[in-house]
Amino acid sequence: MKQGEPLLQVMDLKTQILSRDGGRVVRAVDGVSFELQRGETLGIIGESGSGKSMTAMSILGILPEAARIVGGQIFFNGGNLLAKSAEEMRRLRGEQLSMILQDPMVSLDPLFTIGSQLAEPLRLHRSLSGAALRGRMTDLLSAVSIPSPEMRLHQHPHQMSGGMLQRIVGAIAISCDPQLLIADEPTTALDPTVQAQFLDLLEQLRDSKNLSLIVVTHDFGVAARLCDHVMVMYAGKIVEKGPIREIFDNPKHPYTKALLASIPDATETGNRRLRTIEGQPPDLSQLPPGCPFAPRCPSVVARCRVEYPPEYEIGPDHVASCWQVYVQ
Amino acid sequence: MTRILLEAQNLRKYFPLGRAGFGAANRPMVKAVDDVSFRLEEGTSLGIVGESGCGKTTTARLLLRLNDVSAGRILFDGAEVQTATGRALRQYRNEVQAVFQDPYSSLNPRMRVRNIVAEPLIAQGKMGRKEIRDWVAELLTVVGLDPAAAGRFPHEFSGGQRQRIAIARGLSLKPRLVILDEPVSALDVSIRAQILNLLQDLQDKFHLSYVMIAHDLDVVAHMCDTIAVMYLGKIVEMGTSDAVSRSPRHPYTQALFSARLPARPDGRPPRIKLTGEIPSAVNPPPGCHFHTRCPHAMPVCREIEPPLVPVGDDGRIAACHLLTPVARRS
Amino acid sequence: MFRYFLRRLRLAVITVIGVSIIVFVASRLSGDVTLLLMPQDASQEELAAFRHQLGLDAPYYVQYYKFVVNIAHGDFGDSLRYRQPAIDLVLSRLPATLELAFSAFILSTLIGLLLGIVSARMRGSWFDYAARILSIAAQSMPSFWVGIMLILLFAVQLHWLPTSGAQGLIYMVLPVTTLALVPIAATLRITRSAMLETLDADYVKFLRVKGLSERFIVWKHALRNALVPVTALSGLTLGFLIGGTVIIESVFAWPGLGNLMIESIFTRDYPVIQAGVAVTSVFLILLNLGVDILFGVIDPRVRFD
Repeated sequence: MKQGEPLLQVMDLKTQILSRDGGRVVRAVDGVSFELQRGETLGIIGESGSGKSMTAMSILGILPEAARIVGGQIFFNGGNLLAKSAEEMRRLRGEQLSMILQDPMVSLDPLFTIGSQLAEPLRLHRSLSGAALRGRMTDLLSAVSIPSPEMRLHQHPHQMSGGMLQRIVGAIAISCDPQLLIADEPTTALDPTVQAQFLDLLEQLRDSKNLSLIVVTHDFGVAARLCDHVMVMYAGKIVEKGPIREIFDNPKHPYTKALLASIPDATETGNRRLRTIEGQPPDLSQLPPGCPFAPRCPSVVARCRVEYPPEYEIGPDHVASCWQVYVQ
Repeated sequence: MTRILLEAQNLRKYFPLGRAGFGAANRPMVKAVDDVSFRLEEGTSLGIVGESGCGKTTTARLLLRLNDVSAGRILFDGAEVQTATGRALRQYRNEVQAVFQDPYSSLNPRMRVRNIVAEPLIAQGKMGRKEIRDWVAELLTVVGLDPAAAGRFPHEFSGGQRQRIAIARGLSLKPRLVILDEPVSALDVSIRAQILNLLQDLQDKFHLSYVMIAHDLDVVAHMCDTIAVMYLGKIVEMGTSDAVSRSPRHPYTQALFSARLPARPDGRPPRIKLTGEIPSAVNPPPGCHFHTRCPHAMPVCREIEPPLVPVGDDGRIAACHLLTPVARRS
Repeated sequence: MFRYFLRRLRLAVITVIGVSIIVFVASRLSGDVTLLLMPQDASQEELAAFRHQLGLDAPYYVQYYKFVVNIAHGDFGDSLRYRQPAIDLVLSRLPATLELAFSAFILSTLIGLLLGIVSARMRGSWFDYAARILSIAAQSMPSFWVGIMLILLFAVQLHWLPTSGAQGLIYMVLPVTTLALVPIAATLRITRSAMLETLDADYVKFLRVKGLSERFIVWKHALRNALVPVTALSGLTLGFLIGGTVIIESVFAWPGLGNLMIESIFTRDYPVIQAGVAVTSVFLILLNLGVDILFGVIDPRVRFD
């Protein structure tokens, strides 16, 4: 555990999406608070609609037009990101804060060469040009194990496989030595062996550059591979967070437990039915009062439908928001 | 004694490259499916796994007669169907249906659910309107949806629910074989379990047979009785699900299984790292297609393609020189 | 890229051959020209002799062969009305038409692109709505009506511009404006929707992640992506413009090819009609070939097809 001031502190973040006609408000991120220490890797685990991607986009300030941050604070390196101007945020992005998106096939502009797109952040944040620029670009591509880097600079995205593209995206993301890298579902669109290769790469980049990493994923396996801490999100709230081993060995929130139990494991024999979570994911524009997981929770009690439970400490660094846990 | 419902014999599908028309017959070919054979017993599930470009989706399309085979035979209940036309083809289509990967694009957004589910029936023209209505209601109940859903449109449902609708549609003709092409990979984790359980229940209830295409090994190993692993158009290993997942023998299968994400933070044995990219299917490497990335490649692997033969005594077959040394065969 | 060019060239040549066949067949379909040209009281022998002289009694494939050989030499025969080589007549009027068509093309592309980009950036604003409504209006109004209205307003009422003729740059203003209206509208709408689509795309998100300014993203990336459908449209636009000049030249008494064609149709001047159609078609095919090449430059994905 690294001591000292955390690199990132998110406090009670609230982000909402307004529907086109202004009628419905979706509370995509509903009071999220967490910290990231330098050099640490945090996993944000959730399914679609959990708010995990919106949290990441709120930190980077790249929310879609219809979305707005309506509350909370985000401290990065001591400065409040939400108080910064658009121009200041722009300068941070790509340089101190960076992100990798899910699908490498659509992360790059199909009309421009790899070199042109790799050069953009380098020209902007590092004012590189000419031979120095080319040198740095080939170095970056070699660092992510792209063979024949000089040739690749002149190629276009459609000439490459998904795995190679994702590595190039990784190279672009770290090209200006950011302090924080957010990877949003970085391996979901990749084949299994390519996935494994890419996670290796992330690990290697993190260790060699002392990056702090936030990995947004729906896959516990990815988190198990890379993360020190994880936080599980549901309907815009954090339902449980703690060190990775704690969460795996000792999950306390019913959603976390159910999620872990519903993952099929090839080496598990016998029992052919998977444990499921009944019901459907919630409609974020019409959340019932109380805990959003109540309609599907196997251990629900009356209080759950009335009031949202506070964070209860289970162990060092391990908290969950659940009335059942609270009671115990 | 279980009968063989489906048998594929030496299936090949080659796609010519380049423009159609004035070119010569010796155009380079993409050998998407290159001599694939397997058998499916009635009431069981076969899983076909592999990564992009391995040919698993093309194989599914061949089975569904969405593409015609370049060579080989497909036998359904003993009868050849790969070149069937007219009545015989319609009959085959009755018996073999599909559920596809993306619940958002596999349902026509302009059709109501009842029409989506009943479309195959209406196309066959065998049932009356009242009968169809009743059957649709029954199907929706069987897949866990409220029969009132029949009057609604796909966009009113979540991904998991849409996949249920797609499954209901797949069952409407009472097929004996359902081809599942990545049926849960586009769904959220918690919904996957629901759909997988549903598929298993339906299999038991209606004595269905499944061919499941997927790249998620855990899902396939969980659902299927037999697993076939494909690489660049060929089957490299095939055997019972238990045997293959517990002790994969072919190096590619081993790498694939070891590349799975751990169920626990430090749960896995050291990974077999594969080098390089998946080679192009137009110019596959000579000899064993896998030798360029195989950690155990030997000189013979570069020259002679290993035959797919039984290895060990648990009923599995694999194509690897390591497992069947050339010298041994004579 | 070179192979791509060769492929397009090959297709262009095939199209030209196709056009020649159509021109040949069409001009023969409209009835026996002999009867039109000869006096009413000509005898059968005179008719037969005339036919033989024009080569109309030979089998069709022989006629076609001679036709092709002739046009390869630029010989379309003489104009029945003016007694000059048809091709000379056509070529002499072509520049005037091209003046109008190209001016309208450049004008409409630039204005359409600009307005489309602004419209997309200011989506939902009054500007956006106004631009879209005006586009639909422009595309719905018949061009001859617009031309006449513009003449009424700017020439007759306001006396700012001349009513017709072609004696200088100022004479071009009204006809080019009229011609350009529809393409401006089409280009605007396509640019706008392409921009919106692009700005929504995931790679734009990644561009923002890199810290690039919105302006940079719009003018370097979004614009180029929007150019893809606009370039595709420009092939059609050019066809529309070159064809559309026929009406405009009539309204504005502009001495171009369009006017000549109308005249020739009314007087059944077949050689000129043939020559006009042939020249226009070949020209358009060449222009489209150019558009194809441009496409290959803008979008690398088509090059390696």
